[in-house]
Parts: sequence; structure tokens; C-alpha cells
Amino acid sequence: MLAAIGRPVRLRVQLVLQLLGLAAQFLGWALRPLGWTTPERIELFRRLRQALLGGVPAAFVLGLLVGAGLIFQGISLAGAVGQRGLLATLLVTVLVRELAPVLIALLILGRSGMVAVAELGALRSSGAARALTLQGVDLLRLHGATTTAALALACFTLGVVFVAVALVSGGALALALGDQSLTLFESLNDVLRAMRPADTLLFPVKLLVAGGMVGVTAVHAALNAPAGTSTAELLPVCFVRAVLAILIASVLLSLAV
Amino acid sequence: MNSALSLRDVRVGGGRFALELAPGELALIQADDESLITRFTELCLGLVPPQSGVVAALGLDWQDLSEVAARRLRGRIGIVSLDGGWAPQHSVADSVILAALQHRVATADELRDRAAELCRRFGLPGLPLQRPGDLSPAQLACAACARAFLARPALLILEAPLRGNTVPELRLPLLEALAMAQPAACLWLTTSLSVWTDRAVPAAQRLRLGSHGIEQAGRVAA
Repeated sequence: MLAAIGRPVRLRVQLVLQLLGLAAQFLGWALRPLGWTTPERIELFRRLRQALLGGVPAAFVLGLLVGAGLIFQGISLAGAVGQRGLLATLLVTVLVRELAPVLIALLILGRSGMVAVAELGALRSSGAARALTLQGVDLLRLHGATTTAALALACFTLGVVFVAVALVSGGALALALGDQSLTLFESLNDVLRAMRPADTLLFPVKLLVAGGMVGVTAVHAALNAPAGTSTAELLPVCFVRAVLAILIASVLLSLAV
Repeated sequence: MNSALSLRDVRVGGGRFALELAPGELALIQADDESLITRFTELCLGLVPPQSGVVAALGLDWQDLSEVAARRLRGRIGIVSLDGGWAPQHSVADSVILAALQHRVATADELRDRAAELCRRFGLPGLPLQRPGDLSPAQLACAACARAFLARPALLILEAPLRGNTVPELRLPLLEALAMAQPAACLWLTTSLSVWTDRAVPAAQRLRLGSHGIEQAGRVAA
């Protein structure tokens, strides 16, 4: 009875510890680029290309939509109630600190994390994972660390694109629709001025951590699954874990800084 | 001289295993069940720890090695894996050279040249640039042999390299490659009785693998 009660808790704690352990191991690998082998570099750039090539247009469109929906309306409403001075602070808090990392990490999860799970799952089911292990290749280094590093870098890049496009498109839309109280340059300048040193640090850290968590959960779900688990079973498990990991990491970092 | 592969009084999963494979020697082992072959390979490569006894490859006991050192040692052993082991998202050429490149055996260009030469020797027109799904099982079996010999290994473990004798045209090039790879030792595992009884294969030992471990061929025949 006691074991039955404790088992789910123990398994979840074990999962969290495993994810943190993997993240630490991958970070250690990423911080020693001189030790990377040629296949690891090739795999890193292959994943990065996959994540960025389709991801940049998607982040661009997402930025346009958020720019039109959030920033334009923010400018209009703040102007209407005479609180234009608070707008930049609001944008930094809502868009840069909170929304961008979570939205872009979800984009990365859907576009690249799921691909990584499917590919790593195929690596196992095809016997390639076993063959590589027999040949002395460390799968966690070759596929785990590279996937995680690529998704973290892609998340950072797409996050910057997203915020830039959102700010410019929102400001440009406000100008185009007749709000002449502020130039585009001034509105961007206000946002940059509203960013405190902590915000400047938190924005890239959140993006890198959120992207990295997508990679870690994808690798863990794919390479740690019981034998015979199909890709169809792996994908929802990875999706739920990754969404939770992104949100928890985002909240914890917001509270920490 | 150290054995290339040594299993001394090994007990694992209810089976008892004893084998000494000297450099340059070929041992031909037959098993009816493929899972026995894969499990035995993993035992020889230190991936399945024995309950008792010593498993050593190229003079090194797997249990004395760190994970990194064990992986490095596995990199010096040529493998043909039973299930092919071709990553569907990579070209066969990339998969052939991947492990050797990861172990920094040579540069990518050198490995590609050497792999192309080996592929031609095993009957392919060159190093296949296609993905594994675009090649026939026979072509993949040839590429698997090229991959096993690529790093000039001192020990080869071949899990059904002729795919249960469904690729008989590979037999002669494989025997030639084994002769040229001397003094490399070779552990040839097969499910096929016709391969196991083939007298053209210059095996110093012919053994059978069962759920109770390794048995000498003489005892099985009796």
C-alpha cells in the first residue's frame, strides 16, 4: 500500500532528477567546444539548420501577429487613458520577459522538438542506436547534447527575431493608422530604456533555458523509453513534459530575477 | 600473448560461457535464436555485466574500464550488427564512417576514401550515398562489412554478416577481407547451419550458443 502511494511520487522525482542531470551533462559538453568531434559538429549544425530554416519565417509571422494584436492595441489603449509612459515598461514585462520565451519555446517544441523525438525514436527502432552503442559511440553526446544545444541556440535566435518584428510591426501599425504622437524610433528607444539590467539578462537566459529544456525532454523521452515504444506513444509524452518544463523554467527564472 | 577476446568462467542469465580467441583466430558460433546472438555480442563488448567471471577484449577487462575507456575500446572492435543499424535520416555513407570519425581514427576524407575502397571490395560500386531505404538488403550487408573493417580493427564481431546465408555472394569477399585483416581475430556469429558447417570458412573453433551458454561443436554433434 505504502509502495503504491509512493511509487508515482518517486517516479516523478526520479524524472525531474534525470532531466536535471542530463541538462547538466549537456551543458558541460556545450561549454567545451574544443572537445567536440566532427560528427557532433555536423549533427549540431544539421539540427540548427532544421530548427532555423523554417523557424525564422514562423517567428516572423508570429511577431507580426503579436505586434498587431498586443503592441498596437497597447499603444492605442495607453494613449487613450494617457498612460503612454507606462507602455514601454509593460511591453518589457509582458512581451520580452514572459511572452516571448514561452511562445518561441512552444514554436521550437512543435517544429523541431517533435522532429527530434521522431528521429531519435527511429534511431532506436531501426537498430541504429544499438549499432552505434556497440561501436562505442556515446548517443547522449552525439544526439542528446547536440540536439539540446541546437534547440537552445535556435530558441534564442528566434526569440530575438520575434521580439524585434513584434515591436517594429506594432509601432509601424500604430503610425500607419494615424497615431502620430510617437515616432517608431522613439517607441523602440523607450522599450530599450525600460529594460533593466535584470531584464537584459533574463531575456536571453530564459530563451536558452526554454529551448534547452525542449531538447532535454525530447532526448530523454526518445532515448529512455522502454523498448518497443512507438513514436506515436513518445510524442504526446514528450509534448506534455516539455510544455511543463518550459512553463516551470519560465516561472522559476522570473521569480529568481 | 594476450587473447583478443577472453571469457573466463563467465556466468550470466543462467548461461556459462568460456572462450579464448587468440589474435588472428576465427571462431564460428551458431545459435538458433537471434536474441542469443545479440546478447552474447553485448556480453563480449562489456555492455552486459557478467554475474561472475571475467570478460576481456584486446587484453582489457571491461569491468576495470571507465565508461569513456570502454567506449574507446569498443571503437577498436569492428562490428556487423544483426539488425543492420542504419539510421534512416542519414546516408549510408555517413553511417559507415560515423563511428570511426567519432573515435577520431582519421579525417573524414581519408575515411571516405578507405570506406569506398572497402565497399568496392565487398561488391558495391562505391560508397553508397543513398539512404538505407533506397538500398537492397544485400547492398546493406556489404556496406555493413565495409563499416566493420573501416577502422582496421584488432577484433571483429560479426553478427550474421551473410544475413543467414541470404547474401552468399558476400562470403568470398568477406573471407578475403578477413585474411587481409590478419592478425585481427574474428568472432563470427550466425543463425545459419549451412554457414556454420561451411568448411571454406577457416574457423579455428566451431561452437554453438544456447540458452545454457557456449557448447563445443563436438559435443553438439554427438
